[in-house]
Amino acid sequence: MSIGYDRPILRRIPLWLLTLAVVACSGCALSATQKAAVSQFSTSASVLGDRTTEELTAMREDTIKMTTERLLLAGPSTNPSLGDQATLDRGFELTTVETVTGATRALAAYGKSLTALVEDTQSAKLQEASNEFVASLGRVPSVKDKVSDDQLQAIGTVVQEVGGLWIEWKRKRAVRTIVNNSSSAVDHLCDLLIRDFGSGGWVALQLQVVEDPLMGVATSALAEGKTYEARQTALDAFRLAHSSRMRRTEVLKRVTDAADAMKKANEALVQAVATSQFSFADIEAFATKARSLAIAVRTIGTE
Amino acid sequence: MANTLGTELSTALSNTTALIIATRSKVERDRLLEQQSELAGRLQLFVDEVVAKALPEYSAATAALNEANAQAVAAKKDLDRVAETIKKFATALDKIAALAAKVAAV
Repeated sequence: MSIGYDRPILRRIPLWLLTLAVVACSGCALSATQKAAVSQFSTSASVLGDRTTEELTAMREDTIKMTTERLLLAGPSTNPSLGDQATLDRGFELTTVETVTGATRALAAYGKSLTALVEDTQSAKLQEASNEFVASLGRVPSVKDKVSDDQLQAIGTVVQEVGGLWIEWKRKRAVRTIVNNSSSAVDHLCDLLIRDFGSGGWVALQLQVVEDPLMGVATSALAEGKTYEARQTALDAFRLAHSSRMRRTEVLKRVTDAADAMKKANEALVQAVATSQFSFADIEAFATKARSLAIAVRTIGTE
Repeated sequence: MANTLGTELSTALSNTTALIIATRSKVERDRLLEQQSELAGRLQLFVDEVVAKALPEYSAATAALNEANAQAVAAKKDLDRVAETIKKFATALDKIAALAAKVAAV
């Protein structure tokens, strides 16, 4: 049995095959800058998605605590539209939080899967596969007799190089397709976050609906409190309302700032994967806003 | 227009809360607390309407992003399959070697 190659040809294979592959695939891979752009964008998207999800969950918890505290201080409200003992989570009901966090979780998952796509986790596997390939090739009797270990090693290198180029070509094609296809969905979610988490959006209004009545009854309880314990209970209520107000003023603003920056970065990302001519500034600005959100969430969470 | 109503109710609620905190009179505070409850209730109803319209938009955004996410996950698996393909070639070569050995033995 013969593989049909004599030694001189075999010796030339790595060189011409590599040259051909490199020439054919030149420009088929994402550049280091393009990969950095995708990586930074996707990491920031994960931060925005994850932190917003956590904050919405915290807002629901705050709502339950604040409504409970208001009921403890003043009893049931005369207004049936406000939360009572049967609807402690009024305004941040499970369905509402689950639906909105469904979108923010999807955003985080998108960021993470895009990060995984541009990260090179294939090189080690490729090395292992080419080693196996060379070992198997060496076990074929006619090859074993005619090809030296060095030549087998060279074949292994070619397999690995060509496999690598193939992967990089596929990677670029996949990233470009996914970024282009998801661009409008990402933009739309950014618009929703800007509208709903911004000043005058329903998230801020809902927090206010729960916070302000608590501030009112706590003020009354503090003014009329005759004992240390009574005043302490009133001040605990103020502390809860204060924490919620911090979320309303600081966190929501950072969510909308990050969403606004993400929209611009998304446009830059579409350009980045299409051409090497793009501005990194918008992607970096998004990263800065996402970091600012993460810091605010951490600070308020530890207060 | 809807946003204007929300903003107006929110401003009125903030102002009432500020007055509750500022006043020293229990009678005035109690009156303001009732006003505050009324305003908060109206704002809650306004928010309920806004949320009811917003939630389907979030569901649609989730579906679209999940689709993009699934595409990215599938593409990653596809990249990982390149090494698997080379391993399959190696397995095929092993089978050829085994077959060659059998032929040689006959």
